[in-house]
Amino acid sequence: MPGMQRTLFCVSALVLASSLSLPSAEVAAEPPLSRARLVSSVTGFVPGVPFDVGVLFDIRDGWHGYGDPPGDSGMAPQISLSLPPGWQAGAVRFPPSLTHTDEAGTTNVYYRQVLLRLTLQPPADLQPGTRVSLRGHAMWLICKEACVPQQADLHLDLEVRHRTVLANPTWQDWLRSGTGTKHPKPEHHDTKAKGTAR
Amino acid sequence: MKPWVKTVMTLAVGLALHARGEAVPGNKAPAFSLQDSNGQTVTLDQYAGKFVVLEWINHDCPFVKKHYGSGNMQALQKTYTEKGVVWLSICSSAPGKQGYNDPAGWNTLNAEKGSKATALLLDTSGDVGRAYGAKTTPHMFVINPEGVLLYNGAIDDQKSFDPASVPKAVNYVVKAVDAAMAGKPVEPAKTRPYGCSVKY
Repeated sequence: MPGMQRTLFCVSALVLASSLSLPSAEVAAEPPLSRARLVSSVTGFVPGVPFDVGVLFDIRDGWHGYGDPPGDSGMAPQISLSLPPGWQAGAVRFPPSLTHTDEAGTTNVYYRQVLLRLTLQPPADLQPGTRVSLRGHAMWLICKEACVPQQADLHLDLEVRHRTVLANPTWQDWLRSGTGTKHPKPEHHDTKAKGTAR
Repeated sequence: MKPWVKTVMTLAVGLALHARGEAVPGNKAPAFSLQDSNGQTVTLDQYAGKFVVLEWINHDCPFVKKHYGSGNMQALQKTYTEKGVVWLSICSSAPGKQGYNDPAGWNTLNAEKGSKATALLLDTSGDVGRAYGAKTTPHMFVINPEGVLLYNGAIDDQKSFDPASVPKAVNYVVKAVDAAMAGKPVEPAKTRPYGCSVKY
């Protein structure tokens, strides 16, 4: 696929190995400051047909993550996927970030929830009816007054379909909510219709 | 005087007092006088005739932890102080902010971390940090024996807190000091620093 940038992604056995050795997260009762999940626009894909996936970051209120470039300080999220042979991944796409200015400078930040998207191109020779497991790793920084490094192993299982793509109904919610703004985009309402529907 | 005029003037004076400078390579490095962690006054002028490296520091910052946890920073400090370079670590964290320590606390930390810096300077007002335009920890500056700034920017090209990124780094401070000591131009002379924001 033209424009695909495979170089962004480390196909790394190390990443896989580390996912096995990490202790289970969130042992404490306190919820984590942030988390990251690998999510997909589809639950089933057709061999050879590209589809979008995303890394969805949830950030605790009062904290912020960073865009790319991060600005005067901070760090852009680092995402590596270890894709099976024959797969290709496009560049990570960042939604518009917000500007955060304090005495030390200006940074490009996200609040609350942000979805970073990328397009995956599966190979054409996969067997319909089987499942594919995608794995990866994310490192990102969140800050309030202080900064705390974060990391997570990513995984996603998808069904290989014969002819029709199976859309993920939650994807639209993530698109709407994962803008990194302080408040989610309101759901679209047709006020006229609402006013008359009694 | 109309109240709004007074307000504008107050704001203007306030902004001027907190104006952030920018140390520009090729220009004279801003002079300073700070207390070190042993209570001694240290000035930039006293090191005329020597190369000086300035390192902005906050040990609670993940990026600083990367460079000290891996031993990278201490190794650089050792290498260059042995070559006669003066290495000054400067903390601009305000009291109560992350990274701030009193002088005794700094001496304990320096011993724990195995710092090989010439001195640790406390810039609690943040004035020196602002004069240099120090944005991050770490943020590095290299000054030549004539007091001219040679380098302003990141320690290296790995904009990450991941310790695994240290071995593959191109270190800009090494490049700058080595070039300058060999009488060669410093390239790059300016990069974008990376790290935590300085806690002014």
